[in-house]
Amino acid sequence: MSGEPLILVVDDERPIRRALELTLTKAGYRVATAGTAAETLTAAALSPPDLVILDLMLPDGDGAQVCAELRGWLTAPILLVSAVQDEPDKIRALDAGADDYLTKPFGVGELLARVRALLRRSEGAMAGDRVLDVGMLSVDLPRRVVTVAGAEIHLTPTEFDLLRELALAAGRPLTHQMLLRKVWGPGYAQEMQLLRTHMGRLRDKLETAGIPRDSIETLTGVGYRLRDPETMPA
Amino acid sequence: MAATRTNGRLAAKRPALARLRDPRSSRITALLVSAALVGASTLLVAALTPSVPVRSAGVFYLLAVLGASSVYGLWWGLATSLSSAVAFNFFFLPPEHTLVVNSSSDWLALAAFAATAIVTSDLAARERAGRDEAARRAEEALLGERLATVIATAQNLDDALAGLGDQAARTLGADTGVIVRGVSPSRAAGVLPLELNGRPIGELRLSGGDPAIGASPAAGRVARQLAGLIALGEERERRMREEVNARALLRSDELKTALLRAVSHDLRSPLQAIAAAAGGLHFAVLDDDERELLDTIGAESGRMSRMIENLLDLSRLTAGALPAAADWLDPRELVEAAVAELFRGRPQDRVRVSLAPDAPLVHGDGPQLQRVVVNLLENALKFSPREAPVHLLVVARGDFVDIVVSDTGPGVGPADAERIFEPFTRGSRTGEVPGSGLGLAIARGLARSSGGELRLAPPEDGGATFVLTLPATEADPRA
Repeated sequence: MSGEPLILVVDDERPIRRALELTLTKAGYRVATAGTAAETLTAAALSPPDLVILDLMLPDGDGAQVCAELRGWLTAPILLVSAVQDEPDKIRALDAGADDYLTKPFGVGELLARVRALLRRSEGAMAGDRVLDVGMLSVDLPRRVVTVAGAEIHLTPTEFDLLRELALAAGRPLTHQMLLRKVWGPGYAQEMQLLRTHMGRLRDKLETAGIPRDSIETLTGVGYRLRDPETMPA
Repeated sequence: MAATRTNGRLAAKRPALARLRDPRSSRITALLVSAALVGASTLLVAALTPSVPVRSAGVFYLLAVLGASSVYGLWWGLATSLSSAVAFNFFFLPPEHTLVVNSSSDWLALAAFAATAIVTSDLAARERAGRDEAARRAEEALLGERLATVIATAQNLDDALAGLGDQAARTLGADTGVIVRGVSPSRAAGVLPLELNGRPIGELRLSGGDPAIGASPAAGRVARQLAGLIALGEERERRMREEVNARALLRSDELKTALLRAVSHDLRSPLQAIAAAAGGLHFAVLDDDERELLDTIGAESGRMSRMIENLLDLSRLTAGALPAAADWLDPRELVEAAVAELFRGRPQDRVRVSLAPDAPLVHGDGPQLQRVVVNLLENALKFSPREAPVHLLVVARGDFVDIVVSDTGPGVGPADAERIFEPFTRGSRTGEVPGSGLGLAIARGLARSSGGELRLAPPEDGGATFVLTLPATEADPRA
């Protein structure tokens, strides 16, 4: 890595590619671009980027497939860009290893916040931490204790497991199926009722403790995301 | 293969049974055979009397009784018993060659013989009837098996039934039979009505054989079997037709979906490019007026893309190319996500959210229902005075959950109450507020496709209140 982070922008529409390139350059990043799935793989192999911004609809292949191929050898975060109606495609791409997504049309502020969060996370790896701090929320993994601004709140084992998974992925979306599999087990991937019910109770308890309900974002049709530490109330 | 073999077995069995049952030929043969049996028994007894006491030798007449009754039934058995008794008396009991009986012990022997013969006749005849019945049932079962095979594998039911009428007729002892479907059975002689649980299926027209055959229990069984299998075949035909139709529909739906997807991509791309280009000027040094112009580009391209989204949704809804997923959803999540989508995470205080803490989960398509709530909120914000709050409520109501959006705008006139849900129609009080008249039409369409309903609440003191009702169970909110 030399100097500023390198971002690979992938979009089949040249005007959009160009606009993103200019915006990100102005914001201080180095930018490479690609218009097809094949170009993306070549560009990423020639000079490995620190972040990939990937449009889900490409003329020569779908985004999920590109994600899976990149994930084989690239650890850099992947930010998906897609239209509103593409929820199933988003889920597939997230399952294939994408880290986050933005829904078109998005504002520059939103884009830059997402880029910053993803780059920050890839620098300071959170793995191995025993206590996860997300704003005023603190999750002690070995002791299974959750505190909000220092005060302990009582969660059931399932609620704790849910919050742990969300906190481990703070700022990153987890699909419904990912959460169900991780918290309940592989046999429960379709039990949406379980997830909705426990998520509702977890939010109620966090809200009572002073954490706004929308700190766990609802990604309708996709899953949930605990806010990035940067945007959590501290 | 199976059908052919079954057929062969039936054909081999038929002549013997038919000969036994044919009423015209059997009387003469029965008479001859019975007489021959009595004669043969007389010869046998005559041959044995020198060595066997004559009163004991009479038992050999029972062989004749047994033979006649087991082949020709009870009445022939009794007739043979009587003639055997007469022959025994005439030829062997003293005084011989008269029908006179002298000693009381001879009377006793004759009476014992007669009683034994009658009982034997009855037993043998019963056994014969049982055998006949079993054979008939086996034949009927074979017929059923063959019918089921033919009907289950036939491409066309009428073709399959063409050969089965004769088969059924022969099983019942008639010569030919024709199965006619879809007629109300007539009660004429030689016509076997086919009914299933009282529902007329058709009839079996028999010719040849006993005209009363239609009234026998066997005919009833065959008729029930035929009716059931024809009904089954008709059901199978109907299913096959439906499957073909469903496949055709699915193909055209897939085509429409693909087309609309392509169109929407083409319409969206330029707008996204405009928005991205405007975004590229984010870092430019601009004065306030220039900044305002830039914001207008951003805001209006956003509005345009929402309008295109609405237009596409409407065409998808009318084309049936927007199938709703059936997921369990938390209504509180739904409204929170809608607010977040509308304000894109910016802090806001115009939408006042109030959630019933005990709201049950609802059933429907998450992204589509979120669009409904977003559309309602957009409308409410648009028509309310600037800075006036809009209320968003989640109310649990038994089997349903209501999501209520109310504003303090001009409200909806009574004449417009239903009209506003029609596409491209706007209420008369919309004034200068821009809009295409699509939002509510789409909202209602999406709500309904998820099994919910969207209504305008009766007007109160100003403003408009829309109620989105969603099923918390399998109940129908429109009921």
